[in-house]
Amino acid sequence: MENIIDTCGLSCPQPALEVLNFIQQNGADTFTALTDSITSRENIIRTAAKHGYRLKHEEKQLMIMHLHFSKNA
Amino acid sequence: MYNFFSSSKGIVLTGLLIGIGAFLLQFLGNPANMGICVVCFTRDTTGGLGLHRAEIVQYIRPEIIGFVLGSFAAALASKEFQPQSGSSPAVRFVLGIITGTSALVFLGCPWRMVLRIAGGDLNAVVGVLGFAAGIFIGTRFFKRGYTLGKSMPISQKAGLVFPLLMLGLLLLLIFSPEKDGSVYNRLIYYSQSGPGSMHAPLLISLGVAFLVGIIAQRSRFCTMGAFRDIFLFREIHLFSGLFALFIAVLVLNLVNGKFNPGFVGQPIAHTDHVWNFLSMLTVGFAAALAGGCPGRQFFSTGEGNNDSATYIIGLFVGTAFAHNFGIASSAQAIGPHSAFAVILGLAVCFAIAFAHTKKR
Repeated sequence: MENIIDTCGLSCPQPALEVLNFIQQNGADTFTALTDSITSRENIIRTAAKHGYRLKHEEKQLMIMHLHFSKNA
Repeated sequence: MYNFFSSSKGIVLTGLLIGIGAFLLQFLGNPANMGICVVCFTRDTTGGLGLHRAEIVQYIRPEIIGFVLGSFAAALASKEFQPQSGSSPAVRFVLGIITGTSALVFLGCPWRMVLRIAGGDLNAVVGVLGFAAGIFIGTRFFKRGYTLGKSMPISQKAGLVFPLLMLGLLLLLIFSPEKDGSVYNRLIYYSQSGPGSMHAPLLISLGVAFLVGIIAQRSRFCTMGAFRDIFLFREIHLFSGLFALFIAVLVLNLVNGKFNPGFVGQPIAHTDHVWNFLSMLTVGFAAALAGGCPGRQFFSTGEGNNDSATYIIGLFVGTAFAHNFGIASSAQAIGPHSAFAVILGLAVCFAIAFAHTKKR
């Protein structure tokens, strides 16, 4: 099953922190972060990049952004 | 849509522009080392509305209005106006009160703290240490699972309320203008002496703040986040913006002969190190728990965030309390109830933090 981190509704810095905790505890090659905040989207992308993940693609469903990350090769 | 201001270069440019704007406002009449002070200007606005009666700090600051309207315009243009609310509003209200009272013991918000250092006021270095310490305490709770809960999308109309309130303040300024020699002018109050009487021309203050609101919304500029992200993520993105602000004002002060290093005799500042440290520690802790510094909270209201609006209303109440209850410091010393208010604020912050921390 895909690794999904739902951060919708959380205020800064919790979305990025949720992603950081996932990366540190799980270390999966791919994961998807959900957020409804553009600021959180930027923070999540920055945090993931710092830990070796890049944004593969993203899509928006209703108000929720689905950010799909994969580990850098 | 690519957002330049949220890039590494963009956040630095934001800091530089805010610094230049702050210096300009100071040059054109705002008080010394107070080109922009979010809490002081909230306090002045509270006084302008007659919610406290400290006659030297009463003036509806156009900067406050400009911050929100600029951010609102930027959020609308970038389709980032997404009203939301519901994340423990009463707690955020209390955190706003604590920020307002504690910052006025130090005599400045985090923005002014940086402007004070850039002007040579070494008392503010003590304040920075306290501010960083307070944020560090907050991050320890974040690591243990602190959260005020999720917010929910609300109607677009609800998100318009705070920008409209700011528009109302602007109408008050326009239709009840200052008359020389008159503190009270039918509707609102205007200081005739002291910091509240010192201000840049209305349209320039409004215009500079509007531009600051735009770039701060686009860049997510936040003085609390600057330190928080270092402690939590080893990330200096936001800090680089804050540092750029400092450098911009420092250079402008040096070039214009406005840099006067020292502890004693600094403009609108006292030398009580213990309470400079503890008051800013409390501000840092409260801002961390609320998720943003006072400036950031104002910009968030422009994005339709009603939780931030609740915090700001708390900030208004806190600044009024500070002057009604003898909490605010003067340039000579802290107020008769400053120490009690700071300790109470700190204790309440700890209570809020423990109450909203769930062990992971």
